[in-house]
Amino acid sequence: MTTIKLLGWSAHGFRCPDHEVSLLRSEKTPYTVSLLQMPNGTGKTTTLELLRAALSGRTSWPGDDLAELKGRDNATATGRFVVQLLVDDRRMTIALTANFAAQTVSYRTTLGSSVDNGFRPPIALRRIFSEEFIPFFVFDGELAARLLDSNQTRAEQALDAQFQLSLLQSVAVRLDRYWADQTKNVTATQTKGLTQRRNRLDHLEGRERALRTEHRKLLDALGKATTERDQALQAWNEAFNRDKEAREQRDQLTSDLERAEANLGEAVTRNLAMVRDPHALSTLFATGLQALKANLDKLKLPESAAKEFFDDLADAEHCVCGEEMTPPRRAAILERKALYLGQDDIGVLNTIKGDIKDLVGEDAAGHRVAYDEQLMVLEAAVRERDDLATELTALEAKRLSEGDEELAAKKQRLDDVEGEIERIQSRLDVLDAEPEGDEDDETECLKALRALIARAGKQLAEVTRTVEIKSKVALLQRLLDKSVKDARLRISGDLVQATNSQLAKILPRSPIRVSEIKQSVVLDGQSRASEGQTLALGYAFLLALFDSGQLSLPFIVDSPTGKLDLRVRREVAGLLPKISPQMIAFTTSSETDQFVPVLHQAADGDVQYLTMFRLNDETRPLIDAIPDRAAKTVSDNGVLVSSRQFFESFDTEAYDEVAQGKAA
Amino acid sequence: MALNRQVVAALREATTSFGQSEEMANRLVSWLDQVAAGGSTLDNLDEVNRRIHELLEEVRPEDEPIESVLGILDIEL
Repeated sequence: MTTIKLLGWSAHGFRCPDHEVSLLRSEKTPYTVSLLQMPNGTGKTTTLELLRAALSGRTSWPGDDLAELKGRDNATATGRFVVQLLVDDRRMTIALTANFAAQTVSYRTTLGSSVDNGFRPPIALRRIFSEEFIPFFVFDGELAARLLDSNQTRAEQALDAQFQLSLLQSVAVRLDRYWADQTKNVTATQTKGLTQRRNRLDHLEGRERALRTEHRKLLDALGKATTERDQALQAWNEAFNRDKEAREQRDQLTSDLERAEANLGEAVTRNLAMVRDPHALSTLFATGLQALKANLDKLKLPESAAKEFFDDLADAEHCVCGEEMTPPRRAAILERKALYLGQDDIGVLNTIKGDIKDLVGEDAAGHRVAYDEQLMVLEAAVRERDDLATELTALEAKRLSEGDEELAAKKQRLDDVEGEIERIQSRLDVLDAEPEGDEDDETECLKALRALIARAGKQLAEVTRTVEIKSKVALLQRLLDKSVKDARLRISGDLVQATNSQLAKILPRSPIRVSEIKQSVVLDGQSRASEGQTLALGYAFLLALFDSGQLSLPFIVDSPTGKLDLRVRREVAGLLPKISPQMIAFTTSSETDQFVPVLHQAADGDVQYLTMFRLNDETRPLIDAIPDRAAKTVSDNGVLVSSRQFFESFDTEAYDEVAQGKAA
Repeated sequence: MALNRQVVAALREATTSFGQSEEMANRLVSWLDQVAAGGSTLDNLDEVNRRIHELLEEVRPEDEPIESVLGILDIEL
């Protein structure tokens, strides 16, 4: 359980007298009950308003309400109100500074050794130190009436704050933020997007299946066609070879053609090798390379020139950067010059020079001449191959023209099968092609299709995962919402029982009962209660609330007996110290009858009696009535007395007359 | 300040009624308990996101086609 105690407060520059109240009986322990008697006109309302503001971080006041809080004799533009608290074992100070001219209020919060500008209560307690919850422990009759008002949500607010239900609601909000974070980079924007992605993937996978089936069938067909082609070729050869002369001619031509094709292959290889030498393509390249080598030789690059450069530099008066060449700099250059004459660099330059010498030599024009000769060899090889192929075709044509139908049929069969193989191979080339990267979904390139499928699958997974997260987030939010509702029912059931139990003790003769606690407190069998009953209900509800909650708070109450009749006052006086371990009540002397003695007894005598009155010429004689042993603090405009005797003898009506005399 | 026992009971009951595991309830209660006690905060976005991620790992999705989930939730992704 977290315990919050009010240790005291001080006020300067406001309508109430400047004062400093300590509620402490010992260093960290406040009195169980502190009664602060403040007659009319002493600024009781102002003090309570400042307490509520400082405990909730209030910063705005409508119209001129803030200016009206300024003390009449305050010559400065500011007022300062400081509240001292103990949160568990840590001291917390909240300092409110009002700037009446600028109509602004600022805060400074000290918690332990940490000082922060602004209103900064511990995070776990922020819902307590809020304008919504403050009325529950800085209590007035208004709150009691609101508890019964179905248009107000005070009871529910109290439950939510005291029993951490607002925490569950905050988590639900954080879940929304998490969802937004997770989906900020997701590109699919609608349900339609999800369906489109799924359809696209299905389409691509369907196409891949169909094309792979076709590919498989093509390979089978190719195998069969190849076998048929071999058979047809054999049959054609057998039929052709029946003419011995033609066969011999063809064998010779075929042999010559194979040789010619081999020659052509070699010529092409040689040609390609020469094309890679730039000096063979053009004399300009060759002479340029020779010039490069000559210049390298002339400049003695790389080693000599570089060495000379650094040596010259070391001897110079100034470095290339303009700095004076001092002995340490000179020594550094000479010592480090080797770093700039790396063996790798020297090796590369020497290799270049060597290669130019070996490959280009002295005869720059000779390389192009040699290449032209090689081109002529290639041209001759092509011509020979073409001539032999034409001759072979002519031989076959001649043989076919001789009217051998069987031979013609076998030739036709061979041509058909080869045509089929060509068609199959052509289609396979399309399917097996390397992707170019710009294929669309209708591509027939299998590799491109696989890449498209991988990409589409990733896109679908992305949106599918997003949807799954949303589904889970929504489920958790519904779960939290149900938990809040169920917890409210459970807690309100406990509270109804506890509140009724207290009401039966306070109002035995005119009992009211609570039937349920929803947004407001609902009475059993009646919609209204008297002012006294309402106040009693407020106390009973708060007692139940604080008794079963996780917080121990100080209970600050203005005019605790209100319009309660004398008998009920006694009951309430016995009840109030039970609401909280610490009670601070702002009273007038008219309230003491049938109240203070019972309260004193209920608090086991641990009661501090404080009386504050405004100090002026008319009230100054009251100081003489303060018992000698009483502790008193006198400021420029007020007196605070800590004395039971003075408290009990103080007549607020007589004081009012004196004060009114002053006003007159 | 630990989480109120009635809140914990309501969370556990809701977890069961939504067909979720005890482990999920434990994770949720443990986190909320720490926040309630001030040992963790909902203001630390990185930590909150980590906690939620861990929690969602334990959540069993409902057996509905995701399109219908989108429809029910009126989601625009």
